[in-house]
Parts: sequence; C-alpha cells; structure tokens
Amino acid sequence: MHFHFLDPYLPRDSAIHALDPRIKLMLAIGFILCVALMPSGAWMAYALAFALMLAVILFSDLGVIAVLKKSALALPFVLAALPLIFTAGGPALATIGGVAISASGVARFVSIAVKSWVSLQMAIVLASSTSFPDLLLAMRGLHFPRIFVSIFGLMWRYLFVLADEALRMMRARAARSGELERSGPARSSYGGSLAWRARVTGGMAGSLFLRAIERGDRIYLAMASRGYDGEIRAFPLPRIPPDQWLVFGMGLVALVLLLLVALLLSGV
Amino acid sequence: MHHRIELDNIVFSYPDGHAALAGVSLHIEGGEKVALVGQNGAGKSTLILHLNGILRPKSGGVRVAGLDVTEKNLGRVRAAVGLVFQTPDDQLFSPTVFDDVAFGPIYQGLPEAEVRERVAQALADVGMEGFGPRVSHHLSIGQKKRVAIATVLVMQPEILVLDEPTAGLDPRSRRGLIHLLNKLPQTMLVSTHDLPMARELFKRTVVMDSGRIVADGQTSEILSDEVLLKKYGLE
Repeated sequence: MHFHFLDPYLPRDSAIHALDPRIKLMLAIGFILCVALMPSGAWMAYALAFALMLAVILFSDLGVIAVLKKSALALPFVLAALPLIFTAGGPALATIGGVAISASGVARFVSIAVKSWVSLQMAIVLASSTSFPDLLLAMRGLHFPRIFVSIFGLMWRYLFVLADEALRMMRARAARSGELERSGPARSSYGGSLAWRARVTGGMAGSLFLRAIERGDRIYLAMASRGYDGEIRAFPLPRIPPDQWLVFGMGLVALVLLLLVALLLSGV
Repeated sequence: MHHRIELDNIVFSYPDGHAALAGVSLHIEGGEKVALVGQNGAGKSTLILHLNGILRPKSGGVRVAGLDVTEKNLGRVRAAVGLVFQTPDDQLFSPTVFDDVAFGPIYQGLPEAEVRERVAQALADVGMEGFGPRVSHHLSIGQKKRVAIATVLVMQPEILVLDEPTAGLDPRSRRGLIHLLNKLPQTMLVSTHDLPMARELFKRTVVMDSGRIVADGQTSEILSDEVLLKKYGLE
C-alpha cells in the first residue's frame, strides 16, 4: 500500500538511460540554459530546439506522446507571462474594450510559452531516464553545494512517506464514509455539510503538518545518534568513460550551434 | 446472507506490477471469528483493503454482508464493514476523539442527537468513556487503538476487520483489547502476528503466503503443525 504516482523514473533499455547521470545532468542544464538565452521571436531556432528535443525523446524510448502529455504541466505557469500581451508597448495588434494588445507583447508571450514548454520536456526526459539516487550522485559529482544535495535527498525520501501517510488517512476516511440503508430525512444530509467536510479536510492537513514536523525531529535525532554532523559522506564516484565524454562534447557543440543560429537569425 | 464475507478467486496486482493476491478464495459465515496470519508482505493487508472496496480486484468477486462490492454499493459496503487500520494515527485524523468517532455517523447524515448518543455508546463499548474532548494526538497507543475501534463500532457494522490490532501494545493493553474483541458480536477477520491471541480468540485460522491462502482450518490444528508454521515463517 504505497503511493506510486510520484516517481517519474521509467526504467528503459535506451542509450539515454545508459548515459552517465553527470553527463545527462550537465547537458540537460546546458540545453535549458541555451533555450532560455534564445532571443524572443527566434521561431526557426525554437523549431530546431524542438527537433533536437524530439530526437532525444525518441532515443530515450520514453514515448513522444507520453512525454508531451506530461509537459502539459508547463501550461499553468505560462499564464504568469500573460500580462506581457498588454504591457509590452509598441504597435497595437488589436484593441479589446479599450485595452491595446501589443504585437511585440504577443510575440514575447508565445516565445516564453514555447521556451518553457521545450525546457520542461528536457527536464521530464532527465527525470524519467535517471533514477533519483543517480541524480543526487550526479549533483554531488558536479560539486553542487552539499547541503542542497542532502536537502533534495531527504525531501525525496520523505515525500513518499508523507504521501503514503496522506493516502492512508484518505483511505481511513473513505472506509468510514458509509451510507445508511434506511431512507427518510437522514438521506438528504448524506455526506455531511460542505463546511463540515471542509473542516475534516482541514483537520487532516493540520495533522499531516504536525506529523511531518515531529517526524523531522525524530529523523534528526536518529541521524544525530548515528553520528550525523551536517555532512553526508559517500564513496568517490567512478570515472566517466571516454566515449561518454565524446557524447558530452557533441552535445555541447550542438547546443552552441543552436544558440548561434538563434542569435544570428534574429539579427542581434 | 448478511454478516458474511465471500471472496472468490481474487487476483490483484499493484500499479508497479507487483502481484499481491494470486487467486484468493475465502468464505466466512456470519458471526464467525477468523484469524488471518502470514509473514509481512504475504498479502494480508491487501486482502483486507478489498473487503470494503478501497482496492478492487483485477478479477474475481467480492461479496460482503450480502452486497457485491461495486461502485454503486460502496457507501453501503463501508457502513457494513468496519475496517480498523494497523496504525491508529492514520485512522485518527481529527482534532479530538469526539470528532473522530463522530465522523462516520455525521457522514451518514444522522441527526445530531443520535450521533452524540452513538459516540457515547461506542466510547463506552471500548472503555473510553469521557475521552470525547481529548486530543487524540496525546493518547497512548493502547488508547488510540481503542478509539480507532470505537470509530468503526459507532457505525454499527455487521463485519469487523482489524489489521494487526495488538501490534505495539503493552501486555495490559493487549489483554484489554483481547477482552474487547472477545465480547464483540460481529463477524470478525483479524490479521495478526500474535499467535497466542489467535489461539485464544479464534476457532478458525487462515494462513497466507505470497498472495495465496496456503492453509485454512481449526486454529488448534494449524498452530500445532510445526512443519507448516516453519514453512511459512510463523514460529
């Protein structure tokens, strides 16, 4: 009885999965950085970046449709850029109810939407093709600040515990959400009032919060009693094989070319 | 027909593909009290979660208290089957003991006077009179366990299903719990590692291993079969 939906890792027998996690992490961050640096309205370069992304998805054997479906997650965040349509200034495309819609604003909004969507696809492929412990190792190997790496690690470990706990609570609630056999006035209030149900849910959220804090204390004590001093020690990582460095080099060249194309085409 | 548990060839696997139940058939008559034993991971908890439709089988049929466990019957099934979870902290999610015990009857839409009466009765049944206003967070495990049982007794179920009720209890709380289970009249299926309790309370014992029922019979016979106990890791 465990929560199964959070872990995005999907084991496959693909070339992407077989890459060293450090290489994958560097290239993924590089790709996202490169896409972020592309000027707005560089549509050709976006198409190239998307084509590169599709190639990576195909290589990773994760399924194009599946990855694209997951990347729909980016959509709600894109809304944060929506005000640009009205505030960017410049020549107006149209006027709705006295508010001018700026042409450059629309271009920038669509650019941001496309860029974050493509970046998220890369993040999805990274998380689906690399198990989380491997990602943590990669972060450590790339000398991310250790405190962050251990916070990520603990978060990952206890996210599942917390989700399990919430799931068990919801099961306990469902198990007692019974229905009466008799009919009559009681039937009309079946399920309780909305306010009452909201209060029950609030109580559940509150106990979950309290338990998380208490568990944090217990975990810390358990760690301290085994000698934890703020630093998690681990074995040194294996060397990255030369052919993987070659992949990294090619990936880097592709990213630089992509960025150059973007900058040249938009004439910056 | 009522008060009965009828499972026919239940097959269930978790979303990660792990097969938890590989064809389980079990019939329990009204009023019968049965112990369910087996190693950790044998499928006991998974089986229990099928009895009120929290999990649904891939194939096979579940009938409890004369009702097919289907989407339509779910509310009635959950009123008929009282499920007490292993960890009382999961079962007790409300701020006070009263709120927790009252959850089921309020959800069913009973009038307030009846809810209060039932809560008082259920708390009395488990020997926790007067604990209503207490914060369940601060009770001992033994007390939490009793309150957890009260939260289902208050719904006046026909069938009681308990998951490892004596786990983590001190001897006195355990003794109190055994007395309590002994005097409750409902049909009972109790998953447990506490074989002495099984011997004391239940005439019939069902042994599970790797998602299958591997033995089903008189408790006295099963618990004296040392070869069987050893084979399924129960001694």
